[in-house]
Amino acid sequence: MYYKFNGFTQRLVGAAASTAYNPQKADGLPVHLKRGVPDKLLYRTTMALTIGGTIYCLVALYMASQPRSQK
Amino acid sequence: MAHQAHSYHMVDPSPWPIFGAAAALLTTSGLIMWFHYSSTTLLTMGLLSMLLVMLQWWRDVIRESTFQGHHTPTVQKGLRYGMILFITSEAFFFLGFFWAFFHSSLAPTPELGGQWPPTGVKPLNPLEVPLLNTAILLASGVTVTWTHHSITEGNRKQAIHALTLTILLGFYFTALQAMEYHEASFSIADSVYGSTFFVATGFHGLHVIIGSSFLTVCLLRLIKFHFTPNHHFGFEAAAWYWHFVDIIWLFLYMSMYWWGS
Repeated sequence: MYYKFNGFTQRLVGAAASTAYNPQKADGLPVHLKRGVPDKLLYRTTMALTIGGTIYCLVALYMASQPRSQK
Repeated sequence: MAHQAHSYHMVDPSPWPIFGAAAALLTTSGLIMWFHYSSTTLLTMGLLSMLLVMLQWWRDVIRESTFQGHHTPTVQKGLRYGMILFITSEAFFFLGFFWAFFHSSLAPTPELGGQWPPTGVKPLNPLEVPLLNTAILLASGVTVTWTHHSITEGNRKQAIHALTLTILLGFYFTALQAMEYHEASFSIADSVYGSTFFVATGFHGLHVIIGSSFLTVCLLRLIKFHFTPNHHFGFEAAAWYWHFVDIIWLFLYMSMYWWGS
């Protein structure tokens, strides 16, 4: 992709400008999802790990609190 | 389009605080599962999620400040207060371990042979590697100050060189300290001497690694033109942290390595 800046405004011009990542675009996306797909993937991975882990943690703590099932 | 009538930053809703709290839960309960049931699954999940949360949270702060321009002078003032308070809390953290050291070493019990270092403990020579480590950290304090001056003067090449040197000195310290840990004739299990020594120097080493990582991120941002001569608080915060790490080492060196040998 060829990126071209306007010399005065220092903004991208041309076909690349519309698809390029613009952190200040008023698209309603929160900052942690602003870049689109890569942000979404990272967010979902983190959520899976933390929420899945919390459930696993609660199960493990429940099992550990049982008097009989200790090795 | 709505505009704010104040100079503060009302952040977008973010999942990182609650995910960070969950990561802390996983890490601590993971430690329990590791200690008592020899299972490292939870701990791994905890450390991994902690890393992901930190990366994304701080990435978002950089987006909000450098790319979206939300860090007004008012916001920056708040961040300065925050960093000072955080470093102060870390100073209190280390104070506890220094308290423990002096409690045990000022009045050594009969079980230790009534002396400090305890009977049978051969301490590290403070004039060998520990003295070199002191020189390394002091030099890195100079280079990080050099970096700051270069940034404020707009001298990009010198700033990059000085910051790289600072980080390399930090890695050199860590490598030497790791070697010292390996070569020491005493371990953490060798009475309260080993406990106080390795817990205090160990946490210090962890803070050196954290500080080096913070400085490395600053180097990457410096190379990518994130900092301006007037606005570079991320770097200043890293430099404050690094000076703090240096000062803690000086106290460790004077008390545990030198007086305590």
